[in-house]
Amino acid sequence: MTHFVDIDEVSVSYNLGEPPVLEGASLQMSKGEFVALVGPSGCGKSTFMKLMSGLLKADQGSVVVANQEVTRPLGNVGMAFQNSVMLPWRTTLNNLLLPLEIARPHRETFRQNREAHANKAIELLSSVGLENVAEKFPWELSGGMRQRASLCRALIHEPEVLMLDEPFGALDAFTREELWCVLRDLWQERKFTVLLVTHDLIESAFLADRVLVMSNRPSRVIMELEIPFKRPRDLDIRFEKEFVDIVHQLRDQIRTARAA
Amino acid sequence: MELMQKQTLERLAPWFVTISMFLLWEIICRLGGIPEYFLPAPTVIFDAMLTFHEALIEDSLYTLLSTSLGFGIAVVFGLLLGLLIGWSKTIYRGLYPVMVGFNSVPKVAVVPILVLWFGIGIVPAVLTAFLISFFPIVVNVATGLATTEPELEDVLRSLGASKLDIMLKVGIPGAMPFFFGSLKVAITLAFVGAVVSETVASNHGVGHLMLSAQANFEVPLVFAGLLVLAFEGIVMYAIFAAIEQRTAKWAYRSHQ
Repeated sequence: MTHFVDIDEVSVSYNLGEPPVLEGASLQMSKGEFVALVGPSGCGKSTFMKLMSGLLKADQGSVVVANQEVTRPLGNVGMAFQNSVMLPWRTTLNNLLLPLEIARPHRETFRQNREAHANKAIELLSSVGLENVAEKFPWELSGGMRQRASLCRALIHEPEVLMLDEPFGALDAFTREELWCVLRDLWQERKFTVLLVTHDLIESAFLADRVLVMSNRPSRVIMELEIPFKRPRDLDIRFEKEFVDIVHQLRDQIRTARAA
Repeated sequence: MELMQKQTLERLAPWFVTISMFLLWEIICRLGGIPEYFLPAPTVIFDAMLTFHEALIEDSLYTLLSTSLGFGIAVVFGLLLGLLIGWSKTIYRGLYPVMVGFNSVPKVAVVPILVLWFGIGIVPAVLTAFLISFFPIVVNVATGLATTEPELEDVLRSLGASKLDIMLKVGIPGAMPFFFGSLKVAITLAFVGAVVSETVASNHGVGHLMLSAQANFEVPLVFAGLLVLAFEGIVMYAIFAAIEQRTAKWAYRSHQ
């Protein structure tokens, strides 16, 4: 069967003569699946994201997203990073609208549909608990609020795949837990396809359907773990024995991967 | 209460320092018996200002004109060149040594060449003002463009943004605080350039006025010219500092 996201045996090296970052790496995702990618730092987790978004071309192998071969940016992905990268001269609302001004097919009709887009953006903001900040500037928001807005911006153009590169890495523990739930609820409601790159094993096991562990460079996916807990999951699941076992298992794998 | 006093003190400090400086100057001149042809006291200078106010006003307007023309060209040219340099690394690399070399040449040394080409008059002054002031604008605009966050570029590129899209949506608005910040430096430099050129080769302007006053041994008038220059410089700086504050409010607020 064909997968919604199918990265097949790709190799990537950034500089000539250097060992490749990815070598024969594969990754498959079904539509609406939530996949987390964990691994030692510098193992090329973000490279996967760049491949899927078309920012980077693989030297070998193929990348297919939603039945389209990705060789250049297709505009069908949404991205959010550890740093919320908002434009400080735009209000939160206008920051959210930015993807629609750029991605096709929205950009041609952006002006005519601005009001409809704005309503959609405000609705999206309210769904993450930010109903009152549309007209505020990013620097008037707290770190957690900015990150929520950044999630919304990644989703506004209804991308095929949402890619998150350690989106909660810079937040304090309480805010992070809050945002886990925000993301959980958003996903539960909309069922988009997500690739979450993270260092946090608890985060990966709490949010994802499947966790992939990557090896050191040249990296591949060396282990795959189905997370069996039924959804929606409660934050307290983290303290149950099965959950703790899974996290332990992941940790052991990464320790081996690091040592290798 | 104490806070208010501190704020009042802070507000009055510039006035206090300036006035004290003039008072001290006056006292030194009077008590020290310093001759007028060496260092005239402020009151003597103010007196000269009153006497020669027509010439001073006329010449300072002239200097202001050449400054503004040169500055205007520098803004347009500097902005365009800055955008070009920010656009492509190759262009940046290519132009860099030439620009640094160009900027290192003392502009006084260029004035004779300009006179050779364009004769005595307003043209050399305008060009000197332009040449001396465009560099900081170029550098600032290019730096501003270089500060675009790579993640943001990734977000936009992944949406299919072209280089022009990124430049228009992110690069240029982000570079604006740098651009406006450079204007207050550039305007004072342009002013210096215009006066330098007038001193060397012109029949008008404050620079020329001071040179003729010196030739006639009208020392108080020379100093009057200096004070007028300082005053104009402060006013222009203040105007562009205010414009900077207004145009890029977000850049200041976001650092609070």
